[in-house]
Amino acid sequence: MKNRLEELRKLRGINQEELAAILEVSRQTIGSLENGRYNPSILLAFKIARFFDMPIEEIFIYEEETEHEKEE
Amino acid sequence: MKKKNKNLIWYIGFGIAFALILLLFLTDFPKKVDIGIMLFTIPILSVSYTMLTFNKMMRDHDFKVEVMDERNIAIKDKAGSVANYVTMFFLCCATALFVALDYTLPACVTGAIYVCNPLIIIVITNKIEKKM
Repeated sequence: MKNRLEELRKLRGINQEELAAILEVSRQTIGSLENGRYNPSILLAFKIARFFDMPIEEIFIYEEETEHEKEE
Repeated sequence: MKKKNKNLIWYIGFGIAFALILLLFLTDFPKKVDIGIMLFTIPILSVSYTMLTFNKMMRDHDFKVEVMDERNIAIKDKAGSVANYVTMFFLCCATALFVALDYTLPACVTGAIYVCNPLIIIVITNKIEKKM
């Protein structure tokens, strides 16, 4: 799943630590989310959406996995 | 109120551990019984102390955020699951070694633990399934 977290955070002019403090998660979680290594829980996704005042689907872009990606 | 109850069990653990230590010093049991009491006391004392310290540390906001972080929880769960497989592998090796050395009782004990593991997983899974 792709996301626009890094882009939106930079638009707000805040760093990862500040965003982590607002969302009450670790800075590493923000880093992993931005890199696409970790998908958030629905609760965290809602928290992020509320913070940026945007619908979840505008921040997180769900893409169907291809068979090749699944194998990887 | 809930927090108090949470800590109460660990204070009871402390009490039991100290009572066992007193029992160890004030009585004249055979050495094997003393070792048994000691082996029983050490985990109670260490777990109680760790949990009390952990609950105290949870009052710190930054520590709480770090511990309750959903990614850290997911990592911990995954690590626990993998660690279980590794432990079971070593337990299997130990059982094989005991059988090879003709140590019947240790082989039976480790073998029984190995066989019980899937049953424990089923029981825990059922309990969690009811909660979710």
